[in-house]
Amino acid sequence: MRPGFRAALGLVSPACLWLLAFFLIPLGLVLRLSFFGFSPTSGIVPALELGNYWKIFADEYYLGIFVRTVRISLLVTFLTLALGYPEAYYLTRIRGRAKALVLVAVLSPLIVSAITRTFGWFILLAPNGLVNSAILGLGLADGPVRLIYSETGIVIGLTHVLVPFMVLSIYASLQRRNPALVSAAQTLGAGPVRAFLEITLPLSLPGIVAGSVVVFTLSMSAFVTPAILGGTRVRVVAYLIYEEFLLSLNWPFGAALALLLVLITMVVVVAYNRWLERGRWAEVFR
Amino acid sequence: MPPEGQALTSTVSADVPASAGMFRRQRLTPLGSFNVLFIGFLLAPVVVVVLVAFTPEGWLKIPTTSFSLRWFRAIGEHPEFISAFRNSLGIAVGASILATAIGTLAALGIVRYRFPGREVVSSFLLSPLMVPTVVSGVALLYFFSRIGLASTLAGVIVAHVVVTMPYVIRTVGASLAGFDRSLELAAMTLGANRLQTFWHVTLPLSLPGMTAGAVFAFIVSFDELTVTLFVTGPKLVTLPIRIYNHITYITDPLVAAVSALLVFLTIGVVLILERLVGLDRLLGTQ
Repeated sequence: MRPGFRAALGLVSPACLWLLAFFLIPLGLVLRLSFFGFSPTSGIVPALELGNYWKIFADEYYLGIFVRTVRISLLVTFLTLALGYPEAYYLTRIRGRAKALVLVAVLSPLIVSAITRTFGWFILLAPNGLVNSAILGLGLADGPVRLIYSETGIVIGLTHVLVPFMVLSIYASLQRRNPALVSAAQTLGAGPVRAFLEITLPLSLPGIVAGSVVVFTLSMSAFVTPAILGGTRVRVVAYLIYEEFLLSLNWPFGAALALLLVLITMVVVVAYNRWLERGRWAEVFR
Repeated sequence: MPPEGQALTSTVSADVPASAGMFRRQRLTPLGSFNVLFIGFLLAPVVVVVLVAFTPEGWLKIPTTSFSLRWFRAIGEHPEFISAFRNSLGIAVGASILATAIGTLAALGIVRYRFPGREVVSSFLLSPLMVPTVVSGVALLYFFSRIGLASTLAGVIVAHVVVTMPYVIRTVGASLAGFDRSLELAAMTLGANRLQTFWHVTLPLSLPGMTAGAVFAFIVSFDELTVTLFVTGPKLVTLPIRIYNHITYITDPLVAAVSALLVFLTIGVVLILERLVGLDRLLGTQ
């Protein structure tokens, strides 16, 4: 065991040192930075105070952007779940080459460049784009619907890129379940719907939870999609951080926004886990 | 007959070619038709970008009657896209080589050895995936501006190694999970020392995982926008940043043409992977 320990230490230490120097220390510095003051004339003022955080909580403008970011992320999580579940279920029912092809298609939003697919949505959702032509053609609205530079556009774009995570996560948990359980339920007189609701769905809950956490976390911090489909007209927190750092140059305030974003995301994720793991289906998480 | 039963019977009679089976099921079941719509949703933005790239018009029009290569030719008149492509290529090659080297060692250390604190080390090494990229970007900008790495090639590569290394560790780790240790023991019994065993047995066995990890790191690095936006400056522009700046300024088919080329490149990489490893193997669907 001892020489093994030395070998393991040798193998992992380059990576650990790299992340210590270029990840952990920078994060620590930013945490400290978020308590610093800022003056437009002299720049960053080293001091330990909560001013940046008060500024966020005292201003409806900033609070509104936080609320919007959470609202978009919850909606995206729900939509990826609604779309991802049936697709994951479908994946468990095909095999071989067909399954490989469907999997590549499912993963395609992640493989294709972020800019490319977001630009694609920009074209599709534009006032004279394909989606609006379809809406007008079907007589669903009188004039073009505002899809880009709106929350709707951001939600569509984020759902598109994050749904692969949901599909894969649920698919993995559906794969692990024991098919005999469904047969047993049906032998005992449960119809397909009841067997699904009482056996398959609860057993896939861990996959749903893991998928939702990933999707929610990634949409809370998404930058590229909201920047292109919302921009300055529909700001999210990530965009606000970008503006503070690269345009207003108030780095301490930007750092406070960044840390609050991480904190809120963590709180929601932990609350969600607690709520589910203590609920009726606590059993399946053991 | 309920959809469940239908899907089941067509899976059982799977002696028809897999692709034919897929199409038959798509016609038969609601789940199959959902799959078609879902994949349509996933592919729509990419298909639209590629189509618009061939438009003869001066605006984002999906060509219906005539196709033209004028926007592909127009790329030649914009050397800033070509130099950005070159920058991205260099950064991605550098970052993926470094990330693969360091990440493979770390994956070997984590998967192959049991040592105290192993769990902590493993989650620390994957932690860049958990922290929002905006936050990592902010932290690296602040840190780099203090040590003089901001807006430098070295800084961008260092940042990309932080972002891509977790992907390498995961991919290599997954491929090493089924590693047969008796092969190493056999080599040692036959008189190889630790280094020889590592070089002639362990490394070749981890080569498929390393290749997949390197490709993964390359793609992530090449496409990285958020962190790069923070750590780079106007003198070192990558392709995603060039496209992003272009879109926020003007949306014309030029970006569609550049994006289409990227899509063709991606399809090329996927086809090469299919040839080299096989998609079925790569995605574990066999």
